[in-house]
Amino acid sequence: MTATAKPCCYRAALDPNAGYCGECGEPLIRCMAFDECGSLLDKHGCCPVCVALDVHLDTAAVRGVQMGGVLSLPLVLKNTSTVGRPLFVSEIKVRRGGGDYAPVPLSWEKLAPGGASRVGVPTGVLEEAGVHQFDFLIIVGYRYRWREERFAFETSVTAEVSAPKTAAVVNQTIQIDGDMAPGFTFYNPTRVDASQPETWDAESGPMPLPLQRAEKFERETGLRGLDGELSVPRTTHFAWQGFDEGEVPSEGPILSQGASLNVGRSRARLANGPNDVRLLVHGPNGAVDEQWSTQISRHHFDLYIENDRLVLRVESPNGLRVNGNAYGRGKTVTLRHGDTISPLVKRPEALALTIAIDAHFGTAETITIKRNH
Amino acid sequence: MASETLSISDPNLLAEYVRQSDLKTFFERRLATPPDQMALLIRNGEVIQAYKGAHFSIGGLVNGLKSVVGGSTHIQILLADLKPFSLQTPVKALSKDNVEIAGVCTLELQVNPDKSSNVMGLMNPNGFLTRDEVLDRFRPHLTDRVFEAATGRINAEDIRGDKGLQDFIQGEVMREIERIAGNIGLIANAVSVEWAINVAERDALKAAEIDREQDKLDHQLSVLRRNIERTADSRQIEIKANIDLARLANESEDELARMALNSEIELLDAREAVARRQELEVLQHEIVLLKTERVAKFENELAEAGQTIDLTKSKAALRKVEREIADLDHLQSIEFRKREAEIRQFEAFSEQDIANRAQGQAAEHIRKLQEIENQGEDADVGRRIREKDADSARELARIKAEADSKLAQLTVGAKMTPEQILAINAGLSPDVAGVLAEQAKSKASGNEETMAVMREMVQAATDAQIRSEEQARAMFGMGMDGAVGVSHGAGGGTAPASGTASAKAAPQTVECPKCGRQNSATARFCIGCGHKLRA
Repeated sequence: MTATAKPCCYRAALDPNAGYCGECGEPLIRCMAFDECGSLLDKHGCCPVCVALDVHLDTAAVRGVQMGGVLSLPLVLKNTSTVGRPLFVSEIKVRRGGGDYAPVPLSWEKLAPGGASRVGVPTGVLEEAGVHQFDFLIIVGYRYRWREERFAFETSVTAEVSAPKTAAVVNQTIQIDGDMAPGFTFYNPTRVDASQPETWDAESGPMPLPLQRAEKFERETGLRGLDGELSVPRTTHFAWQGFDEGEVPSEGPILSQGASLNVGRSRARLANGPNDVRLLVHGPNGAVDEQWSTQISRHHFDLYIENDRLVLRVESPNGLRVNGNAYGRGKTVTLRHGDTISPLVKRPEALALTIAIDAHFGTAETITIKRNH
Repeated sequence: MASETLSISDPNLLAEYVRQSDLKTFFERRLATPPDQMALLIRNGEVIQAYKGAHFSIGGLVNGLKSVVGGSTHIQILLADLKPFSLQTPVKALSKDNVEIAGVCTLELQVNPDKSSNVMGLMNPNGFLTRDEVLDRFRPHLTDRVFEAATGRINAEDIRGDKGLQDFIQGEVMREIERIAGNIGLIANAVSVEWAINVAERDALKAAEIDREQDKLDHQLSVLRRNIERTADSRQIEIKANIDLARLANESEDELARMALNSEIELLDAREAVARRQELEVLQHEIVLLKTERVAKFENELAEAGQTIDLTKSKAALRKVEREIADLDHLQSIEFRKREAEIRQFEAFSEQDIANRAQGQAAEHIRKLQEIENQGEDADVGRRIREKDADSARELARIKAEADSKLAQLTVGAKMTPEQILAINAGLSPDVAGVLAEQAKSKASGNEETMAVMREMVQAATDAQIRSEEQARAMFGMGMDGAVGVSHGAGGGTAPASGTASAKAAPQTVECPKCGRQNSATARFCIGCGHKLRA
């Protein structure tokens, strides 16, 4: 099952209580910043409204290069967000000819809405004539409250450099092509004096570079996913075991407006409460243990999916334990298969939730949260 | 059959031929050569093969018969020793400074195992080869070309221990042997020269010996000088001439003899005085030395004693400090126990306090929950009361409305025609009654007939359960729009409904059968659980 962003779904998402589209029945996978962007995630789990990155190659600023010289490619990164959402560019890498990626030094990180920043990417010495391909990796993220989603986008530029034929006059050809416009020539072959550096045709204007998600890079480098092996997308189903009726939401992906599951002592939404999951401590006879139940905060912790990882954030001043390790308020823990959450720090055996992740081909299908006591 | 070892007959031989006549026997013989010797099989003057550690079977009657049948064959075997061997040759040459140099050159040679058959080129006419013959062939080539050339570049006193010279000679000799005998199966493995003592070295030895003798004599001389100097220093002779010359002239011989004796005694005394003074000086030196040693020893003992005292004092202080530490530890442990007791007491109080507070909080919480529940129950009771009140009010309103309606009917009935009153009394609505009355009037000519038609129509309308004006019109096929207003006005009822009974307002929401959520009537799927609501 994949999230969609059909017009009917957008219309349905206007109802804050709607979890599914009434017309097509698809789940409404909202952006974590839905309050600000009002958008649904695309099929790759990226918010198209928050991540509105536009990358151009400023061909007017590109200087020609002779064989053996260094070509500097000026990139212009622009945040075209229309809802006032900033972007954060954490890293830009470049490689030539399928080699290893080398980082490009960045002196800035934040891209304000509507703002643009430039960065010059040196290509290294072009010692050989022929077609050189340069791949760029741009790692960009957007933030909402304490959460941040980061993505890697890839684009490429090809440059063809021909060797000088004579000492006095060279026939130098430099072409830069983008993936979306193969064969588009920015500089026609011209006989120029070898001693004078050639400039690019400034009238050709900035060249847009199409961006493509680099999911494999994200997974292999740990930018997204868990340990390079498991990916937990936002469409992952949540199943519940051992809970009383009305204490947990219906099985399915996280569909709330904040894209997180609030867990605590307060009543669940199905009982007109503020929480998604209600936790109360039961005694040996099955009755509610009020003394220990009061130790569970009304909003004890949050469960949400961030960067294709299942994450827990502690909201209770009393803290909680994960696999026996205590965590205080504001701490976040990445949850794995088999992890055990003990909401009561002083009495972890009284209540425990076990995480079971059912995955196929490295992608989580169902997360079963089982209440053990 | 056991093999017989076939080896070189003399240890001084390097190689020799074994002739066919030596191999002829009546019985067959099996011969074997050791692995360190080479056997070269020659048949009819042609080298057949070279073997190392070969094994032959020769002679015998059968081979003899073969020779008779197939013709005789001349067989020779050349044996060569493959072990390295050593040769020595004297060396005589002149050095750079024209000193005769003598020595013994030792050559380590070997028959080349890879070209062992070539050793035939060295064999003498007698069919053997000795090691001295080998040396005789090399020696003329080495004397001038190698040894003279090598030693002529260096002075005689520098020859001994010159490793470079040895390497040079070895290289040259090996090159010469390779040149002379390389193709006839000899190789040189190593060459060294032992030099005899030459004239220059001998002179140097003599000079060194003379120098050592001179040094020895110088040393003896210096020892003697020091002894003389010591003797001279230790003698101080004082000769006093206290002789009265006038008396000396007048005294007798005996007196003179006595005077001379006295003088000798004084001289001896003076010598003894000097000796005693020297002894006294020695004694004084020893006294000073002993005094110094004793003072130093006493000071040392004094220092040791002082150190012992200080050490004792320090130990006493240490014991005191240790006692104080022990006391403090004891006091601290007492204090710790007191504080632990206080902490336990405090913890007990705290736990009690916490428990009390927790109980208080729990009680407060329960009380609040109870209040909330009570409030909820109160709200429920109030809501039920309000609902009951509303129901009562609605019921009262309905009764009042019915009464008012009845009253209105009665009021209107005063103005109605008898036909309408008939219809209304039959249970039909005023609208229907109006329609029927108009219909009856149109179909009848007189009042009685009108009433008869009216009764029939009322009966038919009652049986057909006609409830509205439209139904009545449809039943009796009337298009009396103009009469509607009349009947409406006559009936005094409300305006007719705009649609039919089946055209009542459709419901706005539908409930999801799975989760119970209210959805828009147009929704195909439940917005709460995604359940499919309709096709």
